Amino acid sequence: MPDRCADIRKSFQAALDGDLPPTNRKEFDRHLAACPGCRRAYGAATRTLAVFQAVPAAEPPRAFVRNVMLRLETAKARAARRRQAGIWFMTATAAASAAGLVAAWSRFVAPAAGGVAAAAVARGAEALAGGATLARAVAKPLGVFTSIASALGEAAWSVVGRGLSEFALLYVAGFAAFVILNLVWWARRPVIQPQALIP
Amino acid sequence: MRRAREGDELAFEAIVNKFSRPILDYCRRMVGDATAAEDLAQETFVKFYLALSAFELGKPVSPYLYRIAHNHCLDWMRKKKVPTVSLLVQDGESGEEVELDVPDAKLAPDELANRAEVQAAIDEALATLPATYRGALIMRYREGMSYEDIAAALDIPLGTVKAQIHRGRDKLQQKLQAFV
Repeated sequence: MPDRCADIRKSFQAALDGDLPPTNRKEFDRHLAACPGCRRAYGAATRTLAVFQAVPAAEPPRAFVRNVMLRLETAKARAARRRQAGIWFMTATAAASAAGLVAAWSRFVAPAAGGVAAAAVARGAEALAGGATLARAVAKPLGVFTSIASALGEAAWSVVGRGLSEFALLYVAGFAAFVILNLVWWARRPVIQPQALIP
Repeated sequence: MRRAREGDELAFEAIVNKFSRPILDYCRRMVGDATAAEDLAQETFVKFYLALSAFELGKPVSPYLYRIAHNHCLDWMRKKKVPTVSLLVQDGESGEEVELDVPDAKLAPDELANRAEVQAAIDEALATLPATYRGALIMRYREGMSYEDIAAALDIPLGTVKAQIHRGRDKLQQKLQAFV
């Protein structure tokens, strides 16, 4: 095929779109008039598109719009259910967080704070005891009382504290599960991201 | 659009009415299956409604709607494992220029377009095109969309759209050369 014909055929698309500038269009038409091969090829391209465009589009069925609206109701109900499930997840996560905070505070913060307070009370009691005989006399039964209270406290902690410690561990595991479930719910929420599917 | 976005279902119904025919036709040409196309077109409108909050008012509706339809069709084809052909490989195989032998006496395009064998040849030609080429060709010549709107709908550069339409048209012409 001569170079000129190849150039003309490259401009078929622009000619079909009506995008050829007037001077180029004149040159294009002149060539087609003189070249049977290009004329046939352009004629075939024009007719191909004319046929492609003329294939009748299917008429939507009568119930098309109604069916869309019915599907929409179902989709909206599904979306509402997912939202409701999301709210439940959030609430459960918040409750688990609160319970976990209480457990962690009881396990780690309260004993340390209690120890500091007990030492301060003991120092105060010693000062009082050293200051006056009367005070010593009073402090002695107080000391016995403090020892008894301390022993009871330690016994109670050994029973309750272990439970709380296990609860704290359970809380961490539960919280992680809720976070994962929330992420899953969030990823599956009914929001369309059209560009996400473009390959 | 504003009313539809605010949840007015009558306004949304008007949009469905306006676009039902072209979207149904688009899905039909994309997947080549009339029953599946109806299903896909209906789902397109449902997805469009659910995505209305992300739609920027003032922008044209059709590229957005066609984008949803296109992606939904791609998704369906992936699930159905509809085979798609790489046009690049085919071009490599048939790199030579094909001399067209067009008969002199022909039927008018609209008469040809109503013949079952021509419609089958068009479906066959479309089926051999990669999905984006097919989508671009349908949007351009069946739906009359501008290159810019097609680029927006397919989320690809303008130059790529033009190249895809050019190659898609060539492919279609090869398949239809016995008729045109």
